[in-house]
Amino acid sequence: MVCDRTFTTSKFRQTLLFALSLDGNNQIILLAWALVQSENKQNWRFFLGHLSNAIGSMVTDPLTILSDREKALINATDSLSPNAYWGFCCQHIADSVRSRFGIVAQDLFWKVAKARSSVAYDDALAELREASSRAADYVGTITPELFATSHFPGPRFGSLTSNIVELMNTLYVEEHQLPPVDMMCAIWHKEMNRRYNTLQSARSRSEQHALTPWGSELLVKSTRLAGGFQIDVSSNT
Amino acid sequence: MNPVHMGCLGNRNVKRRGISTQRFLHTAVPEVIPVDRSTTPKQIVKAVQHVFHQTIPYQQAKRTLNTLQRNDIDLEREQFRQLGALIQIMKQADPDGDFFLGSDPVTSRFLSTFIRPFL
Repeated sequence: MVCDRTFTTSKFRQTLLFALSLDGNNQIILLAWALVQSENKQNWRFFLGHLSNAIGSMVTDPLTILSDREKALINATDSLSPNAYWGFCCQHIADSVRSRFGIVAQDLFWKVAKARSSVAYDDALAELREASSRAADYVGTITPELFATSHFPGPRFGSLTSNIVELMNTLYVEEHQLPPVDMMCAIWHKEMNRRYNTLQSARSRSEQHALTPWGSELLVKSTRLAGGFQIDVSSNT
Repeated sequence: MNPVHMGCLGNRNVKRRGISTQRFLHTAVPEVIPVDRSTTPKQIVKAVQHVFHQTIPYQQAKRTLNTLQRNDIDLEREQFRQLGALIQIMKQADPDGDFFLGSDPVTSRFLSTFIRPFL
């Protein structure tokens, strides 16, 4: 799940908080949204609290939440269940590294973020230190459990960034300009239409397809990459 | 001259009485240019000039802009008052969803609203 906020551009500037996720077909799904007066710890608590109440599995199942390094949001995460793993969007850190230390440091940061073991993480960090000790110090100040693949405690399914937020902002750019009732209605209708179309396309696929179109494509690609190895679907779920 | 074109030429020269009146501008301006917080009086002057071929004074455009923006504020204020009704409608349409509207208990001023459609 990805949490972020955006600002409305109507007369009374409000803040729109939202939670997004990806469905089985790798399509964005808008889980919930809230209109609040401003972005602060109290409002994020309000949002996450309602979301936890609404989605029971958020409390029982392991959940990974990615966000930018917004302090108000980080401070509000103590209201989440112990099954929730909090992480930073690596793209935000990478952008920050690039603006401070240059593009070479940014490339090396990605190596650090994607390292699959602690040893590989240390090696990548050492490589970054060779190129720029200040960049390595900067990355070192960020807790690796919050961004590095090798240290992250929860499941991330390969998602290191919260880039889907940008797509969401693009998708709902016109709605942000509307007054509150019109905006809520417009977002509601757009989201419901998207969900209806997704459901229709899923129903139209024959039952023989255990995977979504995106999943099937991924399986074909993986099979091709695996060369001689055989890849089978483990279960229908 | 081809008489067919006389109409066009005539139209160009028609004197529109009251182009500068606020009443006319209040209805005409939103039709020729989208008015929002970033709109400037100069843009209104240009838009009116382009569509109606007449120049309105800058101050006139500024007054029109102020009125239109004030109307927007009134509309938006009214919509905040209607949020409660919207939440009720959404609850009826999606009984399994989660909806919440928070307002100040003393002033009834809008504080927050939460919407989570049923998955």
